[in-house]
Amino acid sequence: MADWLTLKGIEKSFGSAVKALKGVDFRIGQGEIIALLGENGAGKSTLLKAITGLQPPDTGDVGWLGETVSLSTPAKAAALGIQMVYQELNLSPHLSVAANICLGNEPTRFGIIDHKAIYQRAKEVLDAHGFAIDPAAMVDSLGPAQRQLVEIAKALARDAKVLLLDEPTSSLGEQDILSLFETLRDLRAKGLGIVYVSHRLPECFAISDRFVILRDGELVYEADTADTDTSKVVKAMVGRDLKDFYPRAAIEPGAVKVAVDLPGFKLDIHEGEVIGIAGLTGSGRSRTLRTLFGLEPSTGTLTIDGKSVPLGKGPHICIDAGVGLLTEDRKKTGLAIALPIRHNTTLAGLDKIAPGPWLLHGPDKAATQKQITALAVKTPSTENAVGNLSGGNQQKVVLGRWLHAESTVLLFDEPTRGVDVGSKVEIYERMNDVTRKGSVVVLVSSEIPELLGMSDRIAILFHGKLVTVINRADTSPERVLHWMMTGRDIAPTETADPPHQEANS
Amino acid sequence: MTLAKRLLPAVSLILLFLFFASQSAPFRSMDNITNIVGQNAWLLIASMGMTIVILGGGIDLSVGSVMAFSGVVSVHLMVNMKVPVPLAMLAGLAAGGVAGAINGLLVTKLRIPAFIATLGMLLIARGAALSLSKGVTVDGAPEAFMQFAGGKFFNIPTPLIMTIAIAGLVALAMHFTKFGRYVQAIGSNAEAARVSGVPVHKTLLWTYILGGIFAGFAGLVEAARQGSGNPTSAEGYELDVVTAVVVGGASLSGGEGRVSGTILGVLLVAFLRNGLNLIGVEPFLQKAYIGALILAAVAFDQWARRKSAA
Repeated sequence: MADWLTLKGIEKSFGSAVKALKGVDFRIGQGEIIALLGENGAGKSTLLKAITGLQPPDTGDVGWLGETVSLSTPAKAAALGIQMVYQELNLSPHLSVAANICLGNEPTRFGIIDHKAIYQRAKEVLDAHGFAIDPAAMVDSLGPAQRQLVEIAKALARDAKVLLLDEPTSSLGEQDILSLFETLRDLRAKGLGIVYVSHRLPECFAISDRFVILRDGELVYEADTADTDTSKVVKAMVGRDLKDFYPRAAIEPGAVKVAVDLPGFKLDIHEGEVIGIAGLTGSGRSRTLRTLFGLEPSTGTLTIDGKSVPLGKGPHICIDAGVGLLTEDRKKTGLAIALPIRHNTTLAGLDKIAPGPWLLHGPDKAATQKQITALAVKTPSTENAVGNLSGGNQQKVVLGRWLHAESTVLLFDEPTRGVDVGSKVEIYERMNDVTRKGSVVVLVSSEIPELLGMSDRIAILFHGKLVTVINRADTSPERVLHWMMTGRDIAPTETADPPHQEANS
Repeated sequence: MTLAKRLLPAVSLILLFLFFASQSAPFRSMDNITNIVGQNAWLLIASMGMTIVILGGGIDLSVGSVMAFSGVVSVHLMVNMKVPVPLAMLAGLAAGGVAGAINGLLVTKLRIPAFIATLGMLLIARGAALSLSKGVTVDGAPEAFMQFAGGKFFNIPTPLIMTIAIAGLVALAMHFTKFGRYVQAIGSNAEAARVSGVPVHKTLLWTYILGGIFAGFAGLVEAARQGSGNPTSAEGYELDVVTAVVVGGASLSGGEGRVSGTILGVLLVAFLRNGLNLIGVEPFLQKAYIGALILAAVAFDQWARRKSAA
């Protein structure tokens, strides 16, 4: 079978200095799923934009089913059957599923939109792929997983042959991811070529047939999924050996620093500990962090260093007590994107540089520069707008905010989401640094390898309740996943070790 | 804010000034310049309050009505109740502050969008001014009050001194206080500010209170200039104020704007109006020119954004 798309010697420059793609050969075959990986700035987005016609390449040959074609405009790419599903879904929330699927492609009768035909057409597409979604439903009534399916159906309704997915699971929970994978496998069986872009390695291994890795605008690695492994992939991405991808340092826990007693969540955390919180989406992971940060009303208690911290009275009380929250969505709730790094860094700890109402710029700049240096934020100055930084560097600014505020109880909600591999490791190293000084980190993550790799103990949430706490040494991905999905331990016969019970230590 | 965006109001102002100065001899006379300052002191003062509100991501449409309300309260107290002038003026400022506080509470506590909340206040303050004065202008303000807007101090007109002092204070507050930093952070991303421990509601409440007080101050200046409290005065003035702030480079989506920009915006509006008068453009068309000015400013802003995003 001929490949859908073949790219040869693709080059793309921005200005004279930046060469984003340096002669990339890339092909998308029929009935295959390709995991496309690369650190931020490696050229993934540029390659996708070249394929979708948004930014045509400067040089290079493009073939479609063996014949030379041009991808100079998005319309040409779409006419061939190249469709992209973006990370931020492009749906109109106040329109129906059917209207979204046919948006821009509405069947008409005598020049008037034919609502019945729209419904029919959407229903055909949804049924043909077994998507259990009512075409008449309003998009804003759907969950993230169903919206993702609608987005895919929209592409399929446009007769997609090649489907490009950018971080398709970033807003999905474990179960939704599994059903998305089912869908993708069905589409593969129907002959579609699928490009799957993600930072989440385990998912890439689970779903792909082939790995393609870009670095500095070059295709540096290509291998069948069956013939490769995590360390080879990571090495190709970062261009150096990462001796240990999760460099959690061995730190002897000290005295109890934080005592949490919320309804359904009772846990003591010791100095120097990283506590991972695992649970499916909706199990209350983020809610627990928000409660400990004073953002949610609560009848529970929080004690830090022996002092009681009133909850539900606003975050400033918790911040004063030493709590810092790195939110799940840094652009929406973490950073003021248009403001300089300086404004973002010192915001939570202005009292540290300005005890009274006056705020002088000298100490402000110095404090910001200190964090920029400590966290190796790549920026020309403290005055650079945060929006100009890469995802990894943005996350470092949020981290710097809490380090500047001298927070000792750090709540991390998905700290490495959308962050390149290099910055991930740096964030992990900072977790080691702060815990060495006796601070504690509470880490919420959907990536089980990250939880297992970085946590000293893992607290499992199931339907909003803490069901067990497992020591790092006693655990395995299968065991954590089993606890997450069922709220119970793996049956003793399935594990070699006797089950280890340590609830609410 | 890009450099081009910051320079544009200044360059436009210089070009506009040179154009009118070359076209009209009276325009460049010292008397006319003094006149412009006196006539537009209210605009600058009210625009300072609006800059703070807009920087925080809000808007205040009640400015004109609050100006009239403050003026009426003040003059009514000094003329009909024989309250001493300074006290009556304080009461006028307080009236503006109360209107602003109500705006702020509507926005923060009842979560009414600022556009709607202050539209309500636009009607309420106007109604209150009309009711207090029974719909007629309160005349006969004491000389001491009129001196407030028409006097001179070391041969410098008092309105000029007041506007410079107020603009300086607001610039200082926005750049060198935590309050200023908080306002900007909230205007850029209110949720991120909240999660950083910024007292979002309290800060926003104060932006509206200050907006109200500055509107009240502007109302007093106008009342003093006219020597009366007119309940139907200053109608639609909020639009001039918003124009000046936006032309000065502030973004209506919040987080972006500077006092220096607003000053230039005020001067642009003021010179444009005065210059058009002097070169004989019919008054009816003048509004259209001001409208074109705000459209040009926003179109340039959007263009500059697209350019810096690409």
